[in-house]
Amino acid sequence: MGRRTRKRPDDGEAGIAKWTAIAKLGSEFFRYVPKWGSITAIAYFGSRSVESLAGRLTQADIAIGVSLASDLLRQERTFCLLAAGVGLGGIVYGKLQASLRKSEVARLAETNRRYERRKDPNRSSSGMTARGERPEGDE
Amino acid sequence: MNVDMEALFWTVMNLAAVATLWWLYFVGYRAYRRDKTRQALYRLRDELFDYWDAHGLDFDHRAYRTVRALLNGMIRSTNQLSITFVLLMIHGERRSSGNTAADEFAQALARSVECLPKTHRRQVLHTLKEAHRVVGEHLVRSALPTLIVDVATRIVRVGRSFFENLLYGAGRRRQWREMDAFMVRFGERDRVAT
Repeated sequence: MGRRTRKRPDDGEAGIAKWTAIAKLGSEFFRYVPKWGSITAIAYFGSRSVESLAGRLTQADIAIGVSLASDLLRQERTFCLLAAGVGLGGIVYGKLQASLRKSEVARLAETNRRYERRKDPNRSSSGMTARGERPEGDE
Repeated sequence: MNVDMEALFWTVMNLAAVATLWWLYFVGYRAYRRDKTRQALYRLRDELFDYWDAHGLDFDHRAYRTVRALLNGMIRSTNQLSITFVLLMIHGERRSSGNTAADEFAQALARSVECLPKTHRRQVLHTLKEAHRVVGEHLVRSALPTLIVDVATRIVRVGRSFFENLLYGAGRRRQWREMDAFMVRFGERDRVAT
């Protein structure tokens, strides 16, 4: 007598739908918790630091971790490090965005060029490169 | 109220800097990464269209329709794609032994691709492979821990390539020969001395 295989609850379309929903939920969780959790932590440490500066909290009231963060936040040296990070991050971000924009221009320009050339074989060109930059040697 | 104004000033400045860094990663970089992946997928879709057009192939061919539908799905779901999403989907796929959708899709794709002549088949498979590479890159670079590992690996690779070029680049061949000749003379002098 053949062994009967029992149908599992995860089988078939229902299983796919269930796991797609779980995957979406898990993905959203790991997307939003670090994002909003970190900004909440920044706000919390900031407010505790200001409160302790105003004398509303004594060292005894503050947990060791919060105290350490407050001390770090008050230092000029911390700002130098963070400012370097912001500056470097800003430059990298700007460069990446510019590169992305130029690539997108190149992709769209190519399609446009091909379409126009079909309609107008004598189509003239500004001579700019595909990425929207002036050609080399152009002054 | 007795407040240390200097400490307060640096606290505010530091908080502003941390908030800017937060924005750079969670808003700026994530949007950039999503757009970059979408752009790469659009480019692949355009290339496939151009190939089909240039070779006068039927746009209603099942292989073209299937790959285009797959690319469209990838483009649309880029904002949801993450390592967590993929790991959970793979886990779900393994648990649901009777999952027919994935098998059916794979079989339909294989059948439709097999109908094509060899050269065109190569193009379709290339597009699929590239699409998987683009999505894989997106998964690695859209999560902070894997992004850090990826950037560190790249820095190491660039550094290694720089030093390899410095030591063994085309211009170094002559210098190595000169040093070898010197070493030989040096060795021979030692032998005579002993």
